Amino acid sequence: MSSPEVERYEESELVERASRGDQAAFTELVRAHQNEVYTLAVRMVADRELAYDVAQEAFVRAWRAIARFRGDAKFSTWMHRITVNTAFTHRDRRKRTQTDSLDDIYREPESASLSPERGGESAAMRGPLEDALKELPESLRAVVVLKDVYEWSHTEIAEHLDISVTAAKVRLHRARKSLRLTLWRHQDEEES
Amino acid sequence: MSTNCTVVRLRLPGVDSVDDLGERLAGHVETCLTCQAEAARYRTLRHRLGGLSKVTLRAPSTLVPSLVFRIEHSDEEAASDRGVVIRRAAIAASAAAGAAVAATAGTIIVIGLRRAHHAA
Repeated sequence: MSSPEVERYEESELVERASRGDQAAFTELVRAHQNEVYTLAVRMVADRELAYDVAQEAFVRAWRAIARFRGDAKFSTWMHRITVNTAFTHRDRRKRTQTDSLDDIYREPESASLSPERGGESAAMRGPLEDALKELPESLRAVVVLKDVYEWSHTEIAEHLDISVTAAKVRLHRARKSLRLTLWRHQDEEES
Repeated sequence: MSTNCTVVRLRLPGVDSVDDLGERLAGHVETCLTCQAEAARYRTLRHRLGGLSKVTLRAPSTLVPSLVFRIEHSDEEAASDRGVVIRRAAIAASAAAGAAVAATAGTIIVIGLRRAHHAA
């Protein structure tokens, strides 16, 4: 079942049941929103394995907090916010442990272990734009993804990333400039 | 390249539309092919980024089952976390109590030594 297939009234009923501790209802919500949450996580952290952990942790946090979900926002919007916060928690945790990890050095080439899901993901993430996004520093990527892909306002971004609105605008400026230079590099070289 | 071109290039990454550059610079873009080309690149970039919102990746099939397992055990996990916090608090409290006892004992010894010194 994908998100659009869950009618709004049906979703609010699932949320209501889940908030009373109904795990089956919450599992239905997870099934409906798992792809969009995972996609956002991949875009935020640019690492499939970490994104998997982020998505799972985000749903666990949602389960623990769903009794406090008031329903004045859509469940998907609420999940997006939790996912963004979780992505940043994981990023900070990873930064602290990065020096210990040899996995990154000895990681298998991507094509060696593609499951059907991963094959689909890989195809969707291919292309110069996705590659350019992956190359951006995390702090810039997060802002441009939230603003230009998910249409968050500068105020929302600033609030969730714990930065000022001015800093959010500066990061967006830098991110777009970097993407523009990367994507049209060859054309610029031919013109100069 | 004119001064206007330079300013337009500096400001384009931060705006969502040429109109946001202000009347003077937007007017310049209307008459400058170089700036129009640059504005078109940023418009294309924003459009392609916006297009990513329609691309949804398929989550690995193990996500839901492993999540269900975690949720079923989340109460135990939370209890375990609480246990760790309680144990840590108990250790901190006993360490603080130990330090206080040691400090008191040290003070008594110092006073005793001073008295002994004065008596001598």
